[in-house]
Amino acid sequence: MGRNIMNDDKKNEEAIFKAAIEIDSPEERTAFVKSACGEDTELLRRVEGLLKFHYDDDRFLASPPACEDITLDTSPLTEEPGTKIGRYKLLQRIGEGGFGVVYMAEQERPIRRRVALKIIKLGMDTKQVIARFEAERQALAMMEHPNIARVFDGGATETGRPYFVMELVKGMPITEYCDQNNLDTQQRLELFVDVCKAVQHAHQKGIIHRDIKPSNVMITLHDGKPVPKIIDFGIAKATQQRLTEKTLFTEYQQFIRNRPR
Amino acid sequence: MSDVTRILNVIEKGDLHAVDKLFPLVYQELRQLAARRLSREAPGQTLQATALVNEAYLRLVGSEDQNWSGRYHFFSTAAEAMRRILIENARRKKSIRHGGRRRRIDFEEATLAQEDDTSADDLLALDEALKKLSKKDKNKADLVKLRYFAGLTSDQAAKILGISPSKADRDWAYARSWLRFEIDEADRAD
Repeated sequence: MGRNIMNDDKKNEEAIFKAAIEIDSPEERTAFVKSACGEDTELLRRVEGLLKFHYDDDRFLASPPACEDITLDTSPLTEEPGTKIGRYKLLQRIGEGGFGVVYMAEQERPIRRRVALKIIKLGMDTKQVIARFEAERQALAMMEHPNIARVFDGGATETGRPYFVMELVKGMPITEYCDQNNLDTQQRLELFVDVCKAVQHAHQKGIIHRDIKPSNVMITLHDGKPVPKIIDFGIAKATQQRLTEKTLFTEYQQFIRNRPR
Repeated sequence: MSDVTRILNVIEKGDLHAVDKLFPLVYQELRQLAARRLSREAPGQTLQATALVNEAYLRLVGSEDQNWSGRYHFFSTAAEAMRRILIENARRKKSIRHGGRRRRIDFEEATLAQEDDTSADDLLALDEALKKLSKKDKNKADLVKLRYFAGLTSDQAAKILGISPSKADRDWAYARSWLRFEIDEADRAD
């Protein structure tokens, strides 16, 4: 079986390959291939490569392709009061913002309490959002301040949307509160000082909010006294950061670098 | 008699234009089957393409016995439809990573960020190689499509392509190594 018999290179390659796999002894096979390819080193390289894959990679094309997530664009979104998400049961819709919808929800285990559960709207890359949230979770857990609403948990709903579980804050945005109660400048600044202290606390723990605005600074009443609470700490960072090809590892390094010394 | 059986009968009588009518029906059926199955399963569940093709055959053609030509046209069409669905899906998956759309994941999976694109990449690379094979040797590419995307056994594919089982085995061995080699070369070129 020499080259000269066949004019077409590829046919030759195929014929040599097919003849070679009929030979059981590896030594004889190698010798056959060498002599069949003769001086043509490129042909030899190809045939040897083909044979290598034939014998070494028996997994290639061995199992049928799996089709995952084929219905990505048609799966329904059905969160509504009564729906259970993880250990939380949605009770009632309490707000809607640029990020998504906020529900009052009930947690049953390990403690029974009401929480705010924010489901991030479509268009966010769930996996990256949660990875970023996880990267910051430890730091978020270390924040303990009367003017910062705690962030308890995060995850993905069955339809693949990220959600965050936070301390339920009953109140209204700081600007609205000030206007409704006709606070003077002195009173407004007093409230604002509390907000600044909370932000400083977070910054000392190495956490930045990235989306502080009146609707994220709520006023609640404690024994009739107004107390500001900053909500959504860590969430803007998890959801807004543009991340293209970076791995979680580099993301984490960045996070370390961002922290003040 | 189902629409698909009717079309297959028309093709049988020599009207090859009817092949074009077959594709949308088979494609649609496969997509719907996949969607219905996935809606019943837990998120993250995977389906086997070949199981879908078999189910589609039973639903669209049923037990009415098809001759060689009918089966050939059905399974070639189904293999092509399945290939297209999988490729569209792989492309979408990749664009999701870059553009950002929702996707199904488990919470635990989230910490493993990044590693799930391999199957999409592999599939797209295979498709590129398959296109080259198709230009060089269409019969072998068809054999691969029938076995890989439509899930036929070597003997079934041999019957449909009108070749002997031993030729089908040898052709498959060569085509498989050829594709694998091609993907490897393409990887190196990157």
